[in-house]
Amino acid sequence: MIRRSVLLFLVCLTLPAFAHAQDTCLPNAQGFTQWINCRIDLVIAAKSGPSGGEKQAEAPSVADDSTTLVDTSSAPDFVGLGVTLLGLRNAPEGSDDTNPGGTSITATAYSLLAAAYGKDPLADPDFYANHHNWRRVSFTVGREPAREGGVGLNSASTIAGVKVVLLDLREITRTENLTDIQSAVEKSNMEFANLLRAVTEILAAALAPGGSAVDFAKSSLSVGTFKGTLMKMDGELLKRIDAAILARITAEVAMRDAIKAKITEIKNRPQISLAWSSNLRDATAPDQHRFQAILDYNLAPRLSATGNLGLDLIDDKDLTLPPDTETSVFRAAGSLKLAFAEPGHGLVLSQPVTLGLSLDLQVAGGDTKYKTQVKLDLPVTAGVTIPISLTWADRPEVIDEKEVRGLFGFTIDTSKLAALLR
Amino acid sequence: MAKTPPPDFGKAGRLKIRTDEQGALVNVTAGEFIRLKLTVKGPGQAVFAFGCQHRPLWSAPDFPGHPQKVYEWHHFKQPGDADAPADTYALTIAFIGGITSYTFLMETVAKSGTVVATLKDFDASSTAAQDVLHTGIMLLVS
Repeated sequence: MIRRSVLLFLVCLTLPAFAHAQDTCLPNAQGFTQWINCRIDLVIAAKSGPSGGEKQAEAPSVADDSTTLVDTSSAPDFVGLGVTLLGLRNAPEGSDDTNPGGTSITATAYSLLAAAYGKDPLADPDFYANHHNWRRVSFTVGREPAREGGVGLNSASTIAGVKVVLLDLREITRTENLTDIQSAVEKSNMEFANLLRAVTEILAAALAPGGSAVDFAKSSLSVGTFKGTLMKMDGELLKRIDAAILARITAEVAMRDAIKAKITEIKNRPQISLAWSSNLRDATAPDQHRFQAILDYNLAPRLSATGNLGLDLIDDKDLTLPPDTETSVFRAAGSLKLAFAEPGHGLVLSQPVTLGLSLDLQVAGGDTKYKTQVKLDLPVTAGVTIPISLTWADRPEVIDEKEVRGLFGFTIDTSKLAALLR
Repeated sequence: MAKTPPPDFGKAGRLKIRTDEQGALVNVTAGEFIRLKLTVKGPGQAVFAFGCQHRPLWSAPDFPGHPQKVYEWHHFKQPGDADAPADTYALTIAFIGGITSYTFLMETVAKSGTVVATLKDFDASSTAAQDVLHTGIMLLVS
C-alpha cells in the first residue's frame, strides 16, 4: 500500500513535466515572444509536411594558375582572396621554388569607399543602400609566379583586372524588389495581432479564469513569469492553442511563400558584366590581356550557367615571340554548375558543395583549341571555399602540361565570413 | 568540436531579450503614450510592419528617408489612435532586405516625457534572408 502511494505520488509529480514536455518550444524560450514564434513555426511545419548568386573570389581565368576556367559576373561585396596552393603549380624546371601559386585579391569600389569613409560596409544600411553603383565595380590585383621555363609568357606576372556589372537585377536593396514583401508582412502582422489575442485569451481563460486577459498577460507572461505559467499547460490546452494558431496563419503562410519566391526569383535573375583582366610583365616579356562579356543565369534552383565571350590579346612589346604564338584569339567559354544542396540560409550564407563542368574554346587564324574542366568547390565555412579543378586540353601547350592539369586552392569571401562572425 | 546551438527563431535567428511584456495599461487620458524605436544594422533595407488587430499602422516605407538606421514613432498621441479599449499591437520584422540585426525598444512614456515603463527591449539578428519574427502586446487604454 505504501509502495503504491509512493508510486502514485511520483506519477503525480511527473505529470506536469510530461504535459509541458510535449511543448518543445518552451525549454529554450527566453520569452513569450520566442515561444509563440516557435509554436507558429511548428504549426506551419505540421501543416506543410516534410518539406546564388555567383560571386567570384578566385583569380581571373586569364591567370594560368587560376582554379577557374570561366569567370563569373560579380565579385564579393567586400574583399575576396584567391590562392592556388603550394605544390601543384608548374614551377620552372629544375627550380627549388616553393612559393605558392597565383594569389589575387578582389575588392569592390564599394569596399574601398567604405574604408575611405571609415564605415563598416556590412553594418550601415544607409551607406549600403546609397552606394549601390559602387558595388558594380571591382578590382583584382595579384601575382602569378613563373611557370615552366620561366621566360616569355611563362615568366612571373602581375595579375590586374577590372570588372563592371552592367545588368544587376539581383540587388536586394532595390526598393521595388520588396514592395510585395512589405505588403505581405503588413497582412501577416495584423493576423499575428489577432492570433496573439486569441492565444492570450485561451491561456487566461484556462489558467486564470475570471480575470481579464490583459491582467493575465501583464502578470503571467512576462520574461520572469511566462515559463512557470506555460508549464501549467496540459496537452489538451496546447492542442487548443495550436488550433487557434492554425486558424490564423493564412497570411503568415502567404508571407513566407512570398519571401521564399522572392529569394528564388532574385537568385535566378540574369547578371551581365564586362571585364578586363591581364597578366602584366616587365619589358622583357609580353603582356596578356583578356576582354570579355560575362553572363550568369540560373537555369534551375541548383543549376547555374555562366558564359564568357571575348578576345585575348598579347602585347608583344616588339619582342620576338615563338613562331606559333597567336597575339589575337577569339574566346568563348561556358560552364554549368550543379549544387548538391539548396543554399542553406537564403541570400547570405552557407554555400553547398558544387560541381562545375566548363568548356573553353579559343579560335585564332582558323584554328580552334579547347580546354575542358571539372571543378569541385568545397565550402569549409561561410565565405571560405576550397576549389579543386582538373583541366584537359586538346593541345598540351594550352595548359603547359602533357594532358591533364590539377589545381587546388582556396578562396575567401570576407563579406560572408564577416556576416558569420557578427 | 562544440555543437552549434539551435536558432532562437527561424533558420538562423538569434534573440537577446531584456524585456518582453505581454500586457500593459496606458493612461491615455493622463497624456501617456507609447514610444517605439527600431534600430537596424546590416547591408540592406529594413522590412517591418507595426499594427493592431484592426489595421496596419506603420511600415518601413512610411518613414521619410527610408532606408535608415533608426525608425522611431509614437502611438496614442493623436486622437483616434486607439481602435478599442483593449487591443493587441504587433510588430513583424523580416530579414529579406539584407538587414542582419534589429533592436526594438517599446516604452510607455508620460506626458512630461519621462519613461513610465519599458514594455519591449530585445535584439533580434539573423543571417537567413527568409527569417521573420513577430512580437506583440495587449494594451488596455484608460
